[in-house]
Amino acid sequence: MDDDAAIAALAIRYFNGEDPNALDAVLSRRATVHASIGDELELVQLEEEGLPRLATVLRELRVAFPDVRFALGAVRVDADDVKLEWTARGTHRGPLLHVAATERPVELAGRARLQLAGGKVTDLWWDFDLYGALLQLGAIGAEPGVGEPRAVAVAKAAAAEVRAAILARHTAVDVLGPTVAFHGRVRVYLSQSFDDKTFAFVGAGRAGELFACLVELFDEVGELSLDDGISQGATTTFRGKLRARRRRDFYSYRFRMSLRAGASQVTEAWIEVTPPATVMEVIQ
Amino acid sequence: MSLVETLMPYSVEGFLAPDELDRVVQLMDAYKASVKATRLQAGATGFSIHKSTNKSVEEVVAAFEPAGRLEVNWGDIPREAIDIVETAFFRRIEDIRRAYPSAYGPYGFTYVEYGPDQYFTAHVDGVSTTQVAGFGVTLTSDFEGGEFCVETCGSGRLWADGPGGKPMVAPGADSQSAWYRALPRTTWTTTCERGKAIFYGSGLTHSSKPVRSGVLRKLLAFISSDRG
Repeated sequence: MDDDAAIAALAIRYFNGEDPNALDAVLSRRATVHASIGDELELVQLEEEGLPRLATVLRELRVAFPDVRFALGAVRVDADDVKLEWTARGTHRGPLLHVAATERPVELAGRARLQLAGGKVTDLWWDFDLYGALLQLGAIGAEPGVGEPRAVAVAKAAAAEVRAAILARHTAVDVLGPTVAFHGRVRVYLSQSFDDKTFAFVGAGRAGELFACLVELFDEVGELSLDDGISQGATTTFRGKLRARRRRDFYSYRFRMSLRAGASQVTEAWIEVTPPATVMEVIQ
Repeated sequence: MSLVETLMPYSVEGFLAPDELDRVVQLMDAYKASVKATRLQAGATGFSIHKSTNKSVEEVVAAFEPAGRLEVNWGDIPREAIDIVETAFFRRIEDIRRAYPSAYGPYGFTYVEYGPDQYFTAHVDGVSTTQVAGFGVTLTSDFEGGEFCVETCGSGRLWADGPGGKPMVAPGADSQSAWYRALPRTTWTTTCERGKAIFYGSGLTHSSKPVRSGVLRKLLAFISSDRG
Protein backbone atom coordinates (compact mmCIF):
# COMPACT_ATOMS: atom_id res chain seq x y z
CA MET A 1 0.00 0.00 0.00
CA ASP A 2 1.42 3.39 -0.96
CA ASP A 3 1.35 6.40 1.38
CA ASP A 4 -1.70 8.02 -0.21
CA ALA A 5 -3.81 4.87 -0.03
CA ALA A 6 -2.60 4.38 3.53
CA ILE A 7 -3.84 7.85 4.41
CA ALA A 8 -7.22 7.02 2.84
CA ALA A 9 -7.43 3.89 4.97
CA LEU A 10 -6.48 5.92 8.06
CA ALA A 11 -9.25 8.36 7.25
CA ILE A 12 -11.83 5.57 7.19
CA ARG A 13 -10.53 4.27 10.54
CA TYR A 14 -10.97 7.78 11.89
CA PHE A 15 -14.50 8.16 10.44
CA ASN A 16 -15.45 4.85 12.06
CA GLY A 17 -14.20 6.05 15.41
CA GLU A 18 -11.85 3.08 15.60
CA ASP A 19 -8.86 5.34 16.22
CA PRO A 20 -9.58 8.95 17.24
CA ASN A 21 -5.89 9.77 16.76
CA ALA A 22 -5.54 8.06 13.38
CA LEU A 23 -5.03 11.31 11.48
CA ASP A 24 -2.88 13.13 14.01
CA ALA A 25 0.42 12.01 12.56
CA VAL A 26 -0.44 12.87 8.96
CA LEU A 27 -2.29 16.17 9.48
CA SER A 28 -0.31 19.37 9.15
CA ARG A 29 -0.73 21.64 12.14
CA ARG A 30 -1.96 24.30 9.72
CA ALA A 31 -4.41 21.97 7.98
CA THR A 32 -7.87 23.27 7.13
CA VAL A 33 -10.85 20.98 7.52
CA HIS A 34 -14.01 21.64 5.49
CA ALA A 35 -16.85 19.58 6.87
CA SER A 36 -20.46 20.14 7.69
CA ILE A 37 -23.51 18.04 8.22
CA GLY A 38 -25.74 20.76 6.84
CA ASP A 39 -25.61 22.73 3.63
CA GLU A 40 -23.31 25.48 4.80
CA LEU A 41 -19.64 25.18 4.01
CA GLU A 42 -17.66 25.31 7.19
CA LEU A 43 -14.10 26.64 7.05
CA VAL A 44 -12.23 26.21 10.29
CA GLN A 45 -8.57 26.07 11.25
CA LEU A 46 -7.14 22.93 12.78
CA GLU A 47 -5.23 24.88 15.36
CA GLU A 48 -8.47 26.25 16.61
CA GLU A 49 -11.10 23.62 16.00
CA GLY A 50 -10.35 21.89 12.69
CA LEU A 51 -10.29 18.18 13.40
CA PRO A 52 -12.48 18.56 16.48
CA ARG A 53 -15.04 20.13 14.14
CA LEU A 54 -14.97 17.04 11.94
CA ALA A 55 -15.21 14.94 15.09
CA THR A 56 -18.34 16.90 16.04
CA VAL A 57 -19.88 16.29 12.64
CA LEU A 58 -19.13 12.57 12.88
CA ARG A 59 -20.50 12.51 16.41
CA GLU A 60 -23.74 14.07 15.17
CA LEU A 61 -23.90 11.42 12.49
CA ARG A 62 -23.43 8.70 15.09
CA VAL A 63 -26.28 10.15 17.15
CA ALA A 64 -28.50 9.81 14.08
CA PHE A 65 -27.08 6.43 13.09
CA PRO A 66 -25.54 4.78 16.20
CA ASP A 67 -24.54 1.64 14.29
CA VAL A 68 -23.00 3.49 11.33
CA ARG A 69 -20.07 1.78 9.58
CA PHE A 70 -17.95 3.45 6.93
CA ALA A 71 -16.40 1.51 4.07
CA LEU A 72 -13.78 2.77 1.65
CA GLY A 73 -14.80 2.97 -1.98
CA ALA A 74 -12.84 4.21 -4.98
CA VAL A 75 -9.61 6.09 -4.29
CA ARG A 76 -8.11 8.39 -6.92
CA VAL A 77 -4.67 9.85 -6.45
CA ASP A 78 -3.49 12.77 -8.56
CA ALA A 79 -0.05 13.92 -7.37
CA ASP A 80 -0.73 15.33 -3.88
CA ASP A 81 -4.48 15.23 -4.24
CA VAL A 82 -6.25 12.16 -2.82
CA LYS A 83 -9.95 11.76 -3.53
CA LEU A 84 -11.81 8.94 -1.90
CA GLU A 85 -15.38 7.80 -1.95
CA TRP A 86 -17.00 6.12 0.99
CA THR A 87 -20.29 4.53 1.86
CA ALA A 88 -21.78 4.24 5.29
CA ARG A 89 -24.63 2.05 6.40
CA GLY A 90 -26.62 2.60 9.56
CA THR A 91 -30.05 2.65 11.13
CA HIS A 92 -31.77 5.98 11.71
CA ARG A 93 -32.25 5.92 15.49
CA GLY A 94 -31.69 9.57 16.38
CA PRO A 95 -32.39 13.03 14.94
CA LEU A 96 -30.70 13.97 11.67
CA LEU A 97 -31.07 17.73 11.27
CA HIS A 98 -34.81 18.13 11.97
CA VAL A 99 -35.82 14.59 11.11
CA ALA A 100 -36.74 12.44 14.11
CA ALA A 101 -35.69 8.79 14.25
CA THR A 102 -37.45 6.60 11.70
CA GLU A 103 -35.73 3.27 12.41
CA ARG A 104 -35.09 3.00 8.69
CA PRO A 105 -31.84 1.45 7.38
CA VAL A 106 -29.96 4.06 5.38
CA GLU A 107 -26.97 3.96 3.07
CA LEU A 108 -25.02 7.18 2.91
CA ALA A 109 -22.75 8.01 0.00
CA GLY A 110 -19.92 10.40 0.73
CA ARG A 111 -16.61 11.76 -0.42
CA ALA A 112 -13.44 13.02 1.15
CA ARG A 113 -10.60 14.89 -0.47
CA LEU A 114 -7.19 15.23 1.09
CA GLN A 115 -4.72 17.78 -0.22
CA LEU A 116 -1.15 16.92 0.76
CA ALA A 117 2.11 18.82 0.90
CA GLY A 118 5.34 17.15 1.99
CA GLY A 119 3.43 13.99 2.89
CA LYS A 120 1.11 15.85 5.24
CA VAL A 121 -2.55 16.70 4.79
CA THR A 122 -3.01 20.47 4.48
CA ASP A 123 -6.69 20.47 3.50
CA LEU A 124 -9.39 17.91 4.17
CA TRP A 125 -12.86 18.13 2.61
CA TRP A 126 -15.59 15.81 3.84
CA ASP A 127 -19.21 15.65 2.76
CA PHE A 128 -22.00 13.23 1.97
CA ASP A 129 -25.20 13.05 -0.05
CA LEU A 130 -27.57 14.63 2.45
CA TYR A 131 -30.39 14.80 -0.13
CA GLY A 132 -30.06 11.06 -0.73
CA ALA A 133 -30.17 10.42 3.02
CA LEU A 134 -33.29 12.56 3.49
CA LEU A 135 -34.88 10.81 0.53
CA GLN A 136 -34.32 7.42 2.18
CA LEU A 137 -35.77 8.77 5.42
CA GLY A 138 -38.94 9.93 3.69
CA ALA A 139 -38.10 13.54 4.53
CA ILE A 140 -38.19 14.77 0.92
CA GLY A 141 -41.59 15.51 -0.67
CA ALA A 142 -43.39 12.36 -1.78
CA GLU A 143 -43.80 11.22 -5.36
CA PRO A 144 -47.25 11.60 -6.95
CA GLY A 145 -49.66 8.96 -5.72
CA VAL A 146 -47.17 7.48 -3.25
CA GLY A 147 -48.30 7.49 0.35
CA GLU A 148 -46.20 7.05 3.46
CA PRO A 149 -47.27 3.52 4.50
CA ARG A 150 -47.85 4.21 8.21
CA ALA A 151 -49.76 7.43 7.49
CA VAL A 152 -51.91 5.62 4.93
CA ALA A 153 -52.72 2.87 7.43
CA VAL A 154 -53.67 5.44 10.09
CA ALA A 155 -55.83 7.32 7.57
CA LYS A 156 -57.64 4.18 6.41
CA ALA A 157 -58.45 3.15 9.96
CA ALA A 158 -59.65 6.67 10.77
CA ALA A 159 -61.78 6.83 7.62
CA ALA A 160 -63.52 3.61 8.60
CA GLU A 161 -64.19 5.04 12.05
CA VAL A 162 -65.61 8.28 10.62
CA ARG A 163 -67.84 6.34 8.22
CA ALA A 164 -69.17 4.14 11.04
CA ALA A 165 -69.83 7.20 13.22
CA ILE A 166 -71.81 8.99 10.50
CA LEU A 167 -73.90 5.90 9.76
CA ALA A 168 -74.55 5.44 13.50
CA ARG A 169 -75.45 9.14 13.88
CA HIS A 170 -72.68 9.74 16.42
CA THR A 171 -71.53 13.31 16.88
CA ALA A 172 -68.06 12.58 18.20
CA VAL A 173 -65.23 10.55 16.71
CA ASP A 174 -62.11 9.96 18.76
CA VAL A 175 -59.77 9.96 15.75
CA LEU A 176 -60.83 13.53 14.89
CA GLY A 177 -60.60 14.77 18.46
CA PRO A 178 -59.64 18.19 19.82
CA THR A 179 -56.02 18.06 18.69
CA VAL A 180 -56.85 17.52 15.01
CA ALA A 181 -56.80 20.63 12.80
CA PHE A 182 -60.19 20.42 11.16
CA HIS A 183 -61.82 22.10 8.18
CA GLY A 184 -65.19 21.03 6.90
CA ARG A 185 -68.10 22.15 4.83
CA VAL A 186 -71.58 20.79 4.32
CA ARG A 187 -73.48 22.22 1.39
CA VAL A 188 -76.98 20.89 0.98
CA TYR A 189 -79.85 21.36 -1.37
CA LEU A 190 -83.21 20.61 0.27
CA SER A 191 -86.09 20.03 -2.10
CA GLN A 192 -88.89 20.96 0.31
CA SER A 193 -87.63 24.49 0.63
CA PHE A 194 -85.57 24.70 -2.58
CA ASP A 195 -82.93 25.85 -0.20
CA ASP A 196 -79.19 25.82 -0.82
CA LYS A 197 -77.33 26.05 2.50
CA THR A 198 -73.67 25.92 3.39
CA PHE A 199 -72.32 25.15 6.83
CA ALA A 200 -68.60 25.69 7.50
CA PHE A 201 -66.59 24.26 10.38
CA VAL A 202 -63.01 25.42 10.78
CA GLY A 203 -60.82 24.85 13.80
CA ALA A 204 -59.36 22.08 15.92
CA GLY A 205 -62.00 19.92 17.53
CA ARG A 206 -64.88 21.08 15.31
CA ALA A 207 -65.37 17.76 13.51
CA GLY A 208 -68.16 16.88 15.92
CA GLU A 209 -70.12 19.93 14.81
CA LEU A 210 -70.07 18.70 11.23
CA PHE A 211 -71.37 15.30 12.30
CA ALA A 212 -74.04 16.98 14.44
CA CYS A 213 -75.03 19.04 11.41
CA LEU A 214 -75.61 15.85 9.41
CA VAL A 215 -77.68 14.38 12.25
CA GLU A 216 -79.81 17.52 12.34
CA LEU A 217 -80.26 17.70 8.59
CA PHE A 218 -81.08 14.08 7.92
CA ASP A 219 -83.28 11.54 9.67
CA GLU A 220 -81.12 8.73 8.40
CA VAL A 221 -77.88 8.21 6.50
CA GLY A 222 -78.55 5.01 4.63
CA GLU A 223 -75.31 4.75 2.72
CA LEU A 224 -71.84 6.18 2.84
CA SER A 225 -69.55 4.63 0.29
CA LEU A 226 -65.83 5.41 0.36
CA ASP A 227 -63.17 4.42 -2.15
CA ASP A 228 -59.75 3.01 -1.19
CA GLY A 229 -58.24 6.46 -1.08
CA ILE A 230 -55.61 8.29 -3.09
CA SER A 231 -52.43 9.21 -1.23
CA GLN A 232 -49.44 11.44 -1.49
CA GLY A 233 -47.01 11.40 1.41
CA ALA A 234 -48.89 11.75 4.67
CA THR A 235 -52.21 12.75 3.07
CA THR A 236 -54.90 10.36 1.89
CA THR A 237 -58.16 11.43 0.26
CA PHE A 238 -61.26 9.27 0.26
CA ARG A 239 -64.15 9.94 -2.10
CA GLY A 240 -67.61 8.52 -2.02
CA LYS A 241 -71.34 9.04 -2.00
CA LEU A 242 -73.54 9.85 0.95
CA ARG A 243 -77.18 8.89 0.56
CA ALA A 244 -79.47 10.27 3.24
CA ARG A 245 -83.19 10.59 4.04
CA ARG A 246 -84.91 13.72 5.22
CA ARG A 247 -88.56 13.06 5.98
CA ARG A 248 -89.80 11.15 2.94
CA ASP A 249 -87.12 12.34 0.47
CA PHE A 250 -83.79 10.73 -0.26
CA TYR A 251 -80.80 12.85 -1.19
CA SER A 252 -77.48 11.96 -2.72
CA TYR A 253 -74.35 13.95 -1.97
CA ARG A 254 -70.71 13.73 -2.84
CA PHE A 255 -68.50 13.01 0.16
CA ARG A 256 -64.81 13.90 0.19
CA MET A 257 -62.52 13.42 3.17
CA SER A 258 -58.78 14.07 3.27
CA LEU A 259 -56.76 12.96 6.27
CA ARG A 260 -53.19 13.96 6.98
CA ALA A 261 -51.61 11.57 9.44
CA GLY A 262 -48.41 10.93 11.35
CA ALA A 263 -47.15 7.51 12.32
CA SER A 264 -49.90 6.98 14.87
CA GLN A 265 -52.67 9.59 14.54
CA VAL A 266 -54.51 11.97 12.25
CA THR A 267 -53.16 15.52 12.51
CA GLU A 268 -55.34 17.36 10.02
CA ALA A 269 -58.63 16.57 8.33
CA TRP A 270 -60.88 18.26 5.83
CA ILE A 271 -64.30 16.98 4.86
CA GLU A 272 -66.67 18.21 2.17
CA VAL A 273 -70.28 17.14 1.72
CA THR A 274 -71.52 18.75 -1.48
CA PRO A 275 -74.20 18.22 -4.09
CA PRO A 276 -73.25 16.22 -7.18
CA ALA A 277 -72.65 18.05 -10.44
CA THR A 278 -76.32 18.11 -11.43
CA VAL A 279 -79.47 18.77 -9.42
CA MET A 280 -81.01 15.60 -10.84
CA GLU A 281 -78.35 13.59 -9.05
CA VAL A 282 -79.16 15.27 -5.73
CA ILE A 283 -82.68 13.90 -5.49
CA GLN A 284 -82.85 10.33 -6.62
CA MET B 1 -57.19 30.69 3.66
CA SER B 2 -54.64 33.45 3.62
CA LEU B 3 -54.48 36.30 1.14
CA VAL B 4 -50.99 35.18 0.14
CA GLU B 5 -52.37 31.88 -1.16
CA THR B 6 -54.82 33.69 -3.40
CA LEU B 7 -51.97 35.64 -5.02
CA MET B 8 -49.86 32.60 -5.76
CA PRO B 9 -49.11 31.32 -9.27
CA TYR B 10 -47.99 27.70 -9.38
CA SER B 11 -47.50 24.77 -11.72
CA VAL B 12 -47.62 21.00 -11.51
CA GLU B 13 -45.72 19.44 -14.36
CA GLY B 14 -46.94 16.09 -15.62
CA PHE B 15 -50.24 16.59 -13.80
CA LEU B 16 -51.97 14.23 -16.25
CA ALA B 17 -50.21 11.26 -17.86
CA PRO B 18 -50.37 10.78 -21.66
CA ASP B 19 -52.96 7.99 -21.47
CA GLU B 20 -55.14 10.12 -19.18
CA LEU B 21 -54.87 13.08 -21.55
CA ASP B 22 -55.86 10.85 -24.48
CA ARG B 23 -58.85 9.52 -22.55
CA VAL B 24 -60.11 12.95 -21.49
CA VAL B 25 -59.83 14.20 -25.09
CA GLN B 26 -61.64 11.09 -26.32
CA LEU B 27 -64.45 11.60 -23.79
CA MET B 28 -64.84 15.27 -24.66
CA ASP B 29 -64.83 14.51 -28.39
CA ALA B 30 -67.58 11.95 -27.83
CA TYR B 31 -69.60 14.48 -25.83
CA LYS B 32 -69.11 17.19 -28.48
CA ALA B 33 -70.29 14.81 -31.17
CA SER B 34 -73.46 14.10 -29.19
CA VAL B 35 -74.75 17.69 -28.97
CA LYS B 36 -75.46 20.51 -31.38
CA ALA B 37 -72.41 22.65 -32.10
CA THR B 38 -74.28 25.82 -31.13
CA ARG B 39 -74.71 24.49 -27.60
CA LEU B 40 -70.94 24.38 -27.23
CA GLN B 41 -70.31 28.07 -27.70
CA ALA B 42 -69.53 29.99 -24.51
CA GLY B 43 -72.74 31.32 -22.99
CA ALA B 44 -75.02 29.17 -25.20
CA THR B 45 -76.47 27.32 -22.20
CA GLY B 46 -77.23 30.59 -20.43
CA PHE B 47 -74.30 30.15 -18.12
CA SER B 48 -70.73 31.44 -17.88
CA ILE B 49 -68.08 30.60 -15.31
CA HIS B 50 -67.24 34.29 -15.34
CA LYS B 51 -69.36 36.82 -13.55
CA SER B 52 -69.52 40.58 -13.76
CA THR B 53 -71.85 42.80 -11.80
CA ASN B 54 -75.10 43.68 -13.56
CA LYS B 55 -74.12 42.07 -16.85
CA SER B 56 -75.99 39.45 -18.87
CA VAL B 57 -74.32 36.19 -19.83
CA GLU B 58 -73.91 37.53 -23.39
CA GLU B 59 -72.23 40.67 -22.10
CA VAL B 60 -69.99 38.65 -19.81
CA VAL B 61 -68.90 36.37 -22.66
CA ALA B 62 -68.23 39.41 -24.86
CA ALA B 63 -66.13 40.92 -22.10
CA PHE B 64 -64.14 37.84 -21.11
CA GLU B 65 -63.91 35.93 -24.40
CA PRO B 66 -64.38 38.63 -27.08
CA ALA B 67 -63.55 36.27 -29.96
CA GLY B 68 -65.57 33.44 -28.40
CA ARG B 69 -64.52 30.03 -27.18
CA LEU B 70 -65.99 26.56 -26.96
CA GLU B 71 -67.13 25.82 -23.41
CA VAL B 72 -68.65 22.81 -21.65
CA ASN B 73 -69.69 23.33 -18.04
CA TRP B 74 -69.52 20.84 -15.20
CA GLY B 75 -73.04 19.49 -15.50
CA ASP B 76 -72.29 18.28 -19.02
CA ILE B 77 -68.70 17.06 -18.69
CA PRO B 78 -68.52 13.23 -18.66
CA ARG B 79 -68.12 11.99 -15.10
CA GLU B 80 -65.10 9.88 -16.08
CA ALA B 81 -63.22 12.96 -17.32
CA ILE B 82 -63.85 14.71 -14.00
CA ASP B 83 -62.76 11.59 -12.11
CA ILE B 84 -59.48 11.47 -14.03
CA VAL B 85 -58.64 15.07 -13.12
CA GLU B 86 -59.85 14.67 -9.52
CA THR B 87 -57.66 11.59 -9.11
CA ALA B 88 -54.68 13.48 -10.52
CA PHE B 89 -55.38 16.33 -8.11
CA PHE B 90 -55.44 14.13 -5.03
CA ARG B 91 -52.33 12.16 -5.96
CA ARG B 92 -50.56 15.56 -6.00
CA ILE B 93 -52.42 16.92 -2.96
CA GLU B 94 -49.27 17.60 -0.95
CA ASP B 95 -47.59 19.30 -3.90
CA ILE B 96 -50.65 21.52 -4.35
CA ARG B 97 -51.10 22.31 -0.66
CA ARG B 98 -47.47 23.45 -0.51
CA ALA B 99 -48.65 26.51 -2.46
CA TYR B 100 -52.28 26.55 -1.29
CA PRO B 101 -52.26 25.14 2.27
CA SER B 102 -55.98 25.69 2.70
CA ALA B 103 -56.95 23.74 -0.45
CA TYR B 104 -59.66 21.09 -0.10
CA GLY B 105 -60.21 19.79 -3.62
CA PRO B 106 -61.28 20.67 -7.16
CA TYR B 107 -64.81 21.67 -8.17
CA GLY B 108 -66.62 23.58 -10.91
CA PHE B 109 -64.97 21.82 -13.84
CA THR B 110 -65.12 23.53 -17.23
CA TYR B 111 -63.83 22.30 -20.57
CA VAL B 112 -62.69 25.00 -23.02
CA GLU B 113 -61.26 25.21 -26.52
CA TYR B 114 -59.62 28.26 -28.07
CA GLY B 115 -59.27 28.38 -31.85
CA PRO B 116 -57.25 30.89 -33.92
CA ASP B 117 -57.50 34.46 -32.58
CA GLN B 118 -59.47 33.35 -29.52
CA TYR B 119 -58.29 34.27 -26.02
CA PHE B 120 -59.59 35.47 -22.67
CA THR B 121 -59.18 38.93 -21.22
CA ALA B 122 -57.47 39.90 -17.97
CA HIS B 123 -59.55 39.41 -14.85
CA VAL B 124 -59.46 38.30 -11.23
CA ASP B 125 -61.69 35.36 -10.28
CA GLY B 126 -62.25 36.90 -6.86
CA VAL B 127 -61.55 35.63 -3.40
CA SER B 128 -64.70 34.05 -2.03
CA THR B 129 -65.35 32.19 1.17
CA THR B 130 -65.01 28.86 -0.60
CA GLN B 131 -62.40 29.31 -3.31
CA VAL B 132 -58.64 29.76 -3.04
CA ALA B 133 -57.43 29.22 -6.60
CA GLY B 134 -58.18 27.91 -10.06
CA PHE B 135 -56.19 25.77 -12.43
CA GLY B 136 -56.14 24.67 -16.04
CA VAL B 137 -54.70 21.48 -17.53
CA THR B 138 -53.61 21.67 -21.15
CA LEU B 139 -54.88 18.58 -22.96
CA THR B 140 -53.27 18.83 -26.39
CA SER B 141 -50.18 20.18 -28.12
CA ASP B 142 -51.31 20.83 -31.71
CA PHE B 143 -51.64 24.59 -31.38
CA GLU B 144 -49.49 27.71 -31.35
CA GLY B 145 -49.95 30.73 -29.13
CA GLY B 146 -52.53 30.86 -26.35
CA GLU B 147 -49.84 31.63 -23.79
CA PHE B 148 -51.14 31.92 -20.23
CA CYS B 149 -50.38 35.17 -18.40
CA VAL B 150 -50.60 36.26 -14.81
CA GLU B 151 -50.37 39.89 -13.88
CA THR B 152 -49.04 41.24 -10.65
CA CYS B 153 -49.89 44.63 -9.32
CA GLY B 154 -48.70 46.26 -6.14
CA SER B 155 -51.38 48.91 -6.13
CA GLY B 156 -53.82 49.05 -3.26
CA ARG B 157 -56.45 50.19 -5.79
CA LEU B 158 -57.02 46.51 -6.58
CA TRP B 159 -58.16 45.81 -3.04
CA ALA B 160 -61.11 46.88 -0.92
CA ASP B 161 -62.02 46.35 2.71
CA GLY B 162 -63.92 43.09 2.95
CA PRO B 163 -65.91 41.27 5.62
CA GLY B 164 -64.23 41.18 9.01
CA GLY B 165 -61.66 43.71 7.88
CA LYS B 166 -60.07 41.22 5.51
CA PRO B 167 -59.08 42.48 2.07
CA MET B 168 -61.23 41.54 -0.90
CA VAL B 169 -60.66 42.11 -4.61
CA ALA B 170 -62.21 45.44 -5.56
CA PRO B 171 -65.49 45.15 -7.48
CA GLY B 172 -65.20 45.12 -11.26
CA ALA B 173 -61.63 43.87 -11.46
CA ASP B 174 -61.87 42.99 -15.14
CA SER B 175 -61.28 44.52 -18.56
CA GLN B 176 -64.74 46.15 -18.58
CA SER B 177 -63.76 48.64 -15.88
CA ALA B 178 -61.97 51.85 -16.83
CA TRP B 179 -60.18 51.93 -13.46
CA TYR B 180 -58.95 48.36 -13.98
CA ARG B 181 -57.73 48.98 -17.54
CA ALA B 182 -55.85 52.05 -16.34
CA LEU B 183 -54.14 50.20 -13.49
CA PRO B 184 -50.45 49.62 -14.30
CA ARG B 185 -49.71 45.91 -14.04
CA THR B 186 -46.77 43.59 -14.74
CA THR B 187 -47.40 40.59 -16.99
CA TRP B 188 -45.72 37.19 -16.59
CA THR B 189 -46.20 34.81 -19.50
CA THR B 190 -45.82 31.05 -19.90
CA THR B 191 -46.58 28.58 -22.66
CA CYS B 192 -49.28 25.97 -22.23
CA GLU B 193 -47.77 22.48 -22.32
CA ARG B 194 -49.70 19.26 -22.73
CA GLY B 195 -50.25 17.56 -19.37
CA LYS B 196 -49.11 20.50 -17.26
CA ALA B 197 -51.47 22.16 -14.80
CA ILE B 198 -51.09 25.88 -14.29
CA PHE B 199 -52.53 27.19 -11.05
CA TYR B 200 -53.49 30.78 -10.26
CA GLY B 201 -54.68 32.10 -6.94
CA SER B 202 -58.17 33.55 -7.03
CA GLY B 203 -56.86 37.02 -6.22
CA LEU B 204 -54.38 36.92 -9.09
CA THR B 205 -55.09 38.65 -12.40
CA HIS B 206 -54.83 36.20 -15.30
CA SER B 207 -55.34 36.34 -19.05
CA SER B 208 -54.21 34.64 -22.22
CA LYS B 209 -52.73 35.61 -25.56
CA PRO B 210 -54.63 34.69 -28.73
CA VAL B 211 -54.12 31.27 -30.23
CA ARG B 212 -52.23 31.70 -33.50
CA SER B 213 -53.03 28.33 -35.07
CA GLY B 214 -54.61 25.01 -34.12
CA VAL B 215 -56.89 24.51 -31.13
CA LEU B 216 -55.84 24.86 -27.51
CA ARG B 217 -57.92 22.49 -25.34
CA LYS B 218 -58.01 22.77 -21.56
CA LEU B 219 -59.90 21.46 -18.57
CA LEU B 220 -60.33 24.06 -15.86
CA ALA B 221 -61.46 23.84 -12.25
CA PHE B 222 -61.52 25.88 -9.09
CA ILE B 223 -60.07 24.75 -5.76
CA SER B 224 -62.37 24.79 -2.77
CA SER B 225 -61.15 26.12 0.55
CA ASP B 226 -62.35 27.95 3.61
CA ARG B 227 -62.08 31.54 4.65
CA GLY B 228 -60.01 30.53 7.68
